Amino acid sequence: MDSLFSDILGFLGNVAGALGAYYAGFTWSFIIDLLTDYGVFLVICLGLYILMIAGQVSLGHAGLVGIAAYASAILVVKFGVPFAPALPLVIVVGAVCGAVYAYLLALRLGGFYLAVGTFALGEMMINIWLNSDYVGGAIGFVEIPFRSTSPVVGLAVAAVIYVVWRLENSRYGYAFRAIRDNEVVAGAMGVNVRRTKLLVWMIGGAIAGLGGALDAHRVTVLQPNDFGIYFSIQILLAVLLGGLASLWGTVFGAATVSLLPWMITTGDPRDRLMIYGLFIVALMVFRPQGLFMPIRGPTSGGAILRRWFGLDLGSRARSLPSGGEMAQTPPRGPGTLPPEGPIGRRQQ
Amino acid sequence: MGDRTVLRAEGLEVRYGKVIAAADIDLEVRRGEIVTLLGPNGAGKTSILRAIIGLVPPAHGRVIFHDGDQIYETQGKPVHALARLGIAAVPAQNVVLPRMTVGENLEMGGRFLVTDRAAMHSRIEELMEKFPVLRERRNSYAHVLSGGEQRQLAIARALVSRPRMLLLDEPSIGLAPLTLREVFGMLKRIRDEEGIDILMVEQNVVKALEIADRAYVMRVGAMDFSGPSAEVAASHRLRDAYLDS
Amino acid sequence: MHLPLPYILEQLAIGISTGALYAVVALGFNLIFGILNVLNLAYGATMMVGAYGLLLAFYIGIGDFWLAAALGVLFAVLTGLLVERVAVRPLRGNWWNIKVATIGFAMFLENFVTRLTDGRQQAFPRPFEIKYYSIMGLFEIANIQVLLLLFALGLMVSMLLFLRYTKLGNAIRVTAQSPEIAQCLGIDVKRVTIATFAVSGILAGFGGILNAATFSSVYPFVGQALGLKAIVILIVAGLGNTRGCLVVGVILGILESLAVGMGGSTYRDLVAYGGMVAILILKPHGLFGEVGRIGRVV
Repeated sequence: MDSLFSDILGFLGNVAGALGAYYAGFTWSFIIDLLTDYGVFLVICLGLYILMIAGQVSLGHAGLVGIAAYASAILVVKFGVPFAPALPLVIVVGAVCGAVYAYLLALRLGGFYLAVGTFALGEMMINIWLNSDYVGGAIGFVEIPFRSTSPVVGLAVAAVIYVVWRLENSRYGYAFRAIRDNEVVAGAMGVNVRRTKLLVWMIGGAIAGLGGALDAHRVTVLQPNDFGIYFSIQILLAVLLGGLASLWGTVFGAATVSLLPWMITTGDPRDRLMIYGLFIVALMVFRPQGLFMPIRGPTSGGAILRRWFGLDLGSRARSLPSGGEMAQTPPRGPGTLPPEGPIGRRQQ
Repeated sequence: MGDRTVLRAEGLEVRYGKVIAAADIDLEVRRGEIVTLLGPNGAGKTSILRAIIGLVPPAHGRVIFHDGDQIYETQGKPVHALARLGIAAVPAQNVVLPRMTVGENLEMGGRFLVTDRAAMHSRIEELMEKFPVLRERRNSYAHVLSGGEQRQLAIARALVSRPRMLLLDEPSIGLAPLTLREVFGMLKRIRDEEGIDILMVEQNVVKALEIADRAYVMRVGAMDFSGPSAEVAASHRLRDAYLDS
Repeated sequence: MHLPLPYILEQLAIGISTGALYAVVALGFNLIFGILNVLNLAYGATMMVGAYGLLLAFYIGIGDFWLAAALGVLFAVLTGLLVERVAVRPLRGNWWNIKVATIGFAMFLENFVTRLTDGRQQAFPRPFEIKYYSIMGLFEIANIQVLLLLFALGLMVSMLLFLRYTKLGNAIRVTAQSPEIAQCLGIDVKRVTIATFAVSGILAGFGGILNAATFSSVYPFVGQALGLKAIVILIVAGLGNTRGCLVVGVILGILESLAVGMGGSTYRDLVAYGGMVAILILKPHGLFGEVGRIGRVV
């Protein structure tokens, strides 16, 4: 399947890029820095990933991350809490915020309204930070101690990947996906939709909390507008690139989003954004299911093989195109009756 | 196939993705006929109708309309092109424009197909004679009408543009028995008085066979058998088709 | 807080005219949403193109404001058509993908213009000299505010007339309620969609130009803030509700203006977003109710 192929290509591309960069004169420590930045970004993306698996569209995810970032900065700088104990506190803050988002919006709204609502919450947060001198207002929160060293980030990444991996392959993972496909049916199948949604938001919030803290203590300066729609779009793009079939897609997607810019020779950030924009459009038109992973069905090795041999049944629905547009298939031979009864969907 | 043919479908095949809903379907409607397409659920009859209307492009096959000397092949053509040819279609559900009044709905029936406004308005008046319930509810919004009334509105709307042919998808759905009688009686009158040919997909076999001249019976995506409705009604194959799938 | 009446009245007047501007923006946005059920998030960028189009006209020597505006609007229309062709039509009504794709397109446009113009804020000409009129000796309003208000009213009226009495307008109304029925009635849905984007492009162009004229300046990302406000207005009013747009737009303008007057300019956006979140929680289908396909699940 070409998705696996492009998956390998993409990865090789990244690797080749990294190597090429090395040969172009980048030092190892620079590359490690890059990879650490990528690690922080990946943690943040995985937070969104787990939400999206459950169909929870969070368009203002950067806002959630920002809350945690500011919280961490406040704890460490204003209250003098050392980083190590502050981190779990921030994670809890993140979970709580996730729960708040859930209560306010996610438990009442779906799809479009949820997306817009989370976006609004994010923008509101930015506005609050801009207005609050306590956190430095528009100038920003400065002099945050640098604590997110590569080993710390590496450990965090490993932990989050492990948690997300266990989660998505567990009962909860299935519950999340069921909710994504069809809430009503999920409920009928015995999933406690309300509680599960709350859970996924708390987990997503917690991971965002971790990501935010790491971010704050890496860039050491927080500005409210850093957590605006552009950042949200980058996170979203990373997850979309990877497709929603498996967390490894997000791993590659985040790599592409954070490392790819360094591969583009024109260093002008505006060019990069321009290309991003076009890229997003192209992605949606040609491969909305993501660049790296197939979105249909489970993604364990055995499952992929089964799919190749046509032994799989059923599929996970992604956003369905509107009715009336059908795939054209090549014409069959004349005069033969179809082997089994059609199970075609009724088009309403 | 004589020169009385109005519509002919040859070898139609409809697929949804990889699933074949119906294959190798031939059917024909002749001038002045009411033809009904029957079959149990999942037989593919609605898919075929939709392919004829143009809402779904057929994977295979042809759809041909005769208009006097002209012959139009319409498979794969957009629906509005068919409407311009004088073929009016009424879907099974969501048949009315909910946010417009009955009067507006009727106007929309002709707005895009009829150039002579005055003629259109007099036609609407004429139709309201035939469908008195619409005259009563002229200024009500379409979404407050009952199912039966909506169905009548949809049919009337389709008639505003004086089509040559009417394609109906399950006109009996959701109709109470009394309304059923009215609506089907109406369809027969329309054919008699205006010479409009009708092809309808129907679930209500009895009612359909009452007014249809000929019937096709589909089963599991293929054409099972066909014939004049009296024959079809009497045939045991009809029962088999419905009970054995 | 005891504020002098003239000050409040002045803020009110500013609020109304700003609200009128918001309403103009929202109307164009609403048109596309009403017919397609999709969000065209490149709308803000289209507005920006309109404003820059006017600047371009000036640059190549067209001195008359309104003539230049016509060119700007033309650019906006072309942009709208491009968005439809590239980011909407191929995506077949999948609102999520379209949303993302139009964001991407907007990103591209905004950065493209940044590249072309160096990205800094640029001065924008005004259609006429700003004159202030004194109202009852209490406060002053500027003639451009009056222009905004009149324009918005005029636009809304024209939109309603257009939708009700022209062939295209009716086609749009029908398509918005049911593309399937529309087709059966002889409407070429594809062409109607394209036309809708074109009309919405006109509205966007004017909106962008008016906005730039009001603030005397323009920058490449100006479309973002306005586009977002448009979404807020739409959601608060109820998606697809034309009349609601004007009302909510003006209310928003007034509330924002009062908030700024009392608390300072940084609280302005809070009103919009806070209001939207409140509506989403309390009355998600909008204050005036959605208009559009019944039974649509959003």
